[in-house]
Amino acid sequence: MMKKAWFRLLLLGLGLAAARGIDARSSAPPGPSSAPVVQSFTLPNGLRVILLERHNLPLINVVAAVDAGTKNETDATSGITHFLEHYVLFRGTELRSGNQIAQDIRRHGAYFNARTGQDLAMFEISLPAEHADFALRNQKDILFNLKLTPAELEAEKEVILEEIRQIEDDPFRFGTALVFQNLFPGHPYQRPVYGRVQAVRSLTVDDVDRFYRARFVPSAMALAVVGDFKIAEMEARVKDVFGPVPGVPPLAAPLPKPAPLPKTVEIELERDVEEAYLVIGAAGPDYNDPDQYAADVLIQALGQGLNPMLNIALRGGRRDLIHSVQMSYTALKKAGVFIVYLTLDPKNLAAARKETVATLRHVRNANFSKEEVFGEERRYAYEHLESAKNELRMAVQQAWESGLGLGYSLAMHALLNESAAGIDYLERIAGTTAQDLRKIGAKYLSRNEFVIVTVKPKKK
Amino acid sequence: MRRRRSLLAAAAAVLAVWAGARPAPLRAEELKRSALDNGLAVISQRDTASTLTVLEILIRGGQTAEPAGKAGLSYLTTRLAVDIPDQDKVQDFMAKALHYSVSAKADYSVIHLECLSEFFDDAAATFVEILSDPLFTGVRIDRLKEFMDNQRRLTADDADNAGHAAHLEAFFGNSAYGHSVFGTDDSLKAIKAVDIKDFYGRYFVPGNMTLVAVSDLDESRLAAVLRKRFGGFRKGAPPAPLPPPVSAPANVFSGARDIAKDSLQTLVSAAFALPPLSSRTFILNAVVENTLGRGPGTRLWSLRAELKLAYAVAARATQMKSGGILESTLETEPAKGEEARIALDQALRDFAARGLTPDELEAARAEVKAQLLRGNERKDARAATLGTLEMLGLGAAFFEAFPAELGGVTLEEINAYIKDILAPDRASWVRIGPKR
Repeated sequence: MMKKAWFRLLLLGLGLAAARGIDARSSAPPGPSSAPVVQSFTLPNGLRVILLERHNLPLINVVAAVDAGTKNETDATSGITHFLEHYVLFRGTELRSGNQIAQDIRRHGAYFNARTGQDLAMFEISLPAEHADFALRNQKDILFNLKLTPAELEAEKEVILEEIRQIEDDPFRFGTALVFQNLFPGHPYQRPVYGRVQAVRSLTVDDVDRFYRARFVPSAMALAVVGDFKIAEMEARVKDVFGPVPGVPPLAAPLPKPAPLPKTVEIELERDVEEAYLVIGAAGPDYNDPDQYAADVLIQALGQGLNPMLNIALRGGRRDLIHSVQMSYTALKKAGVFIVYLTLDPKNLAAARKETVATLRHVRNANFSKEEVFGEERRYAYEHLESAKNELRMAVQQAWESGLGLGYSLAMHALLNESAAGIDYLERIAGTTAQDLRKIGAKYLSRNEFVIVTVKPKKK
Repeated sequence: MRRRRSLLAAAAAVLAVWAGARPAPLRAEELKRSALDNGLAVISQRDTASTLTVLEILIRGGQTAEPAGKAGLSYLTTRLAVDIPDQDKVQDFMAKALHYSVSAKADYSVIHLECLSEFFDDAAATFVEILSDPLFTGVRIDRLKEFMDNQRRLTADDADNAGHAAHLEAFFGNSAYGHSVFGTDDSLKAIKAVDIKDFYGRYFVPGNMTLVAVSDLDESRLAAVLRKRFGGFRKGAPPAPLPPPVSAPANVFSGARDIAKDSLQTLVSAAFALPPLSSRTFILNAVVENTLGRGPGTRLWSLRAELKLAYAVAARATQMKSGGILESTLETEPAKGEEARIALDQALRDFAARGLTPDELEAARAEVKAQLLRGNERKDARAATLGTLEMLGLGAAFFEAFPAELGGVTLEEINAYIKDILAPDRASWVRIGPKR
C-alpha cells in the first residue's frame, strides 16, 4: 500500500505543507465542526484515491476519472469513449440491468452523470451521506462489471446520434467542437468527443469490449470522494469496495504534443438563427505548462468579468460591434485552447472578427495595469491585472462551495498532473505580472494561427 | 469552460487546508429575519464555506406590475437602476471583482451581487449610491432596448427557450405571464423615460423590497453593513401599489403550435397549466416534475432508453404566484417527430391515468430532498432560492420546512393532483423544426 505517496508528493512539492512541517491529519482532526481534511493513497491494484472530508452538508460526492478520451481513439473508433460513457451509465452490468441501476439511483436520492473529454472520462455520483456505501459500490459496479450486448449497443447508438444532431444545432457548442477539430490537424485531439457519425454507427460489441478492457482498469483511474464522512472510516470503505478489483497494468499511450496550426482556418456556417455567433480559437499552454497561470489571468483580463479588454475594444466608445463576449481557456494534457465567444448582429461580423483578431494579436504590446500608463491617460486606464487576480481569488472560493466540483477537480488533477514540482496556484496568480501576460500573448496569440467559426443566419 | 477554473481552484483550496490556513467551521447557520429602519426586510444566513458574500436585492412586482402595452418595463427599470454611471465606478467594481446581474421574473425582479467578503462593505456603499440615484437617460435606455432585442433573438435561436415561451403565451396570452421579460418591439417602443421613472418611484421602495444575504461575515458585522448601506435607502417613500392580479391560466386551453425552423432536430413539447401557487402545490409540482422527467428511471426516460427517440427528455415546472406550467419536452430527428409526439402523448396519458406507485413516490421524495441540498450548496444558488420563495409568497423559512412537508405527501394526494393537472384535453403542444 503506497499510502499518501503520490498525492503527498504533489502537495509537498507545492512547498506549503513541507515548508511548514504540517501534516494534514495531525493538524486538522476530523469532526462535525472541524476544518476539512485530506487523505490520499494508492491501492495495490493501482487505483489512486483522494478523500476530502467536509461537513457543510450531509452529502457525499464520488468522482471517478478514467484515463481515456479522444486521445486514445483512432479514426475507426472515433467516439468510443463517449459511447462507453453512455453505456456505463445507462445500459447495465453483470449484476444489474440499466433499469435497475436507474431505480437504485433514484431510491438513494442520487445525482448521477458522466462526461467525456479529449483526455479523460469522468463518472460522478452525489447523494445523501447516509448512502455512502451505495455510492462506492454503484461506481465500482458500473465501472468494472460492464455487460455488453448487441441490443443495448444498438439502442445507445441511436441516442448518441440524436445527441450529435443536438450539438450541431447549437451554435456555440458546435463552434467549440469545430475549433478543437481544426486546431490540431493530424493529432488525436482533432477527433470530435462525441465521435464521427460513421464510426459510431460501425462500432461493434468487440470494439467496445476491447477498448473497455484495456482502458477501464484501476491503474488508469483516480477516485475522489468528497463530503460528510470521517476520513478513517471512508478509507476503510474504499479499500473494502475497490481493493478486490483485479489490477491490470495500464496500456502505455504515448501522446505527442500537437504541431502548430500552419494557417488560419475559417469556417462559415449558415443556420436558421436570428443572431450571429463567432467562435475564435487558438492554441495555448497545456495542463503542465507553467504558462497556464498567466493564461488564467490573461483570459480574465481579456474576456471575463465586468469590463474586459475585448469588451472595451468591441463595444467601447462609439463602437458597438457585439452584444456579448466571453473568453475561455481549457488546458489539456498536451495542449491548451483559448476560445473567444461572441454574439452579434450579423451585419457586424466582418468588423468584429477583424477587431477581435487584432486585439488578440496586440496582447503582446498591451497595457494591463494603471502603473504602465503615464500622465493624464492613467486616470482613464483600467486596472485589468489586479481585477483578473481578484476574479481568480473569487473562483477559488466559489469552487470551494461545491463538493461535487471539488471531487471532479481532484480526480482530474490526479490523472493529468505530471509535475513533481507541484503548484501553488494562488501564489502563482498573485505573482503574475503584466509582462508575463504580454509574454504569453506574444507566444500564443501573436504567433499562433486561429480557427475562426462563424455561424450566421441563412439567407431567406 | 468553468471546469478548468474549478480544477485549479480546487487544488488551491485543498492546499490551503494542508497548509493550515483553515477556514472556520463549514456549516450554514439558520436563517435570520430582520428589518432596517427604513422598512427594508432582510433575510440572512451565515455560511463559512467560502469567504464570499452573496446579496440578492428583490423588488416585488415584476411583469405583473407592468402597465398594459409596456412589456419589458420591469427588466428595463431594474437594469437601469444599477447601470454604472461613470468610469470611476466601473474601475472600482472591476478592482473588487464584483459580480452583478439583473433578472426580471413574472412576479418580481432581482439584482444579484457577489464578491469577496473583504470588499462587501465598499461594494455595497457604491452600489446603493447608484441604486438611490439612477440615470434614466435616453442613450442608456436606447442601448438597453437594443440589448433586450438581442436577448429575444437569442431566445428564438434556442428551441427549448422558444418552446417555453410559446407555451406561456398559449396559456397566459397577453397577461403579464404570457410575454417575454424582454418585451416586444412594440412594447419597447412604447416605453418612455417617464414610464421608467414612474416604475422606479413606485416599486423601488423599502417596503416593497427584500434583501437576502448569505455570507461568511459574522451576524453582527453583516447586519451593521446592511444597516449602514441600505438603512437610508429611500427612507419615507410611500408604499408601493399592489400589482393587479394575473388571471389564472386558461386551464381549458388545448391546442398546438407549429414553429418552422430549419434545424437538425425537431423539438416536441407538451405543457399543462399549473394552479396558483401555495406551499402545497409547490411541493406537489416538485414531485410531479421529478417523477415525470428528471433523468434515468423517470417516466419519460423510456422515450430515450427504450424507444431511442431522443438524447434529451425532460420535464420542467415553471411556478409563478398566480399559476404556472408543467412542460415535457424532447428533441428528436425530424423524421421521428410525429412518432415522438405520439409516444410523449401516450406517456403523459399513462402518467395521468395511473399516477405514481408507492415506490415511485418514495424515490421522488428521496430525489427531491437530496436535490434541495445539492442544488443549494453554493451560496449564490441558495440566496436565489430563498429570494424566490420569499417573493412567491411562500416565505424563505419554507426552505427549512420543505423536507418535512415533502414527507407528508401521500399517494392519494399526489395521484389526485396528477389526474387533475394532466388532463390530456388541456395540453398545449409545440413543435419546432423543419416544415413537414
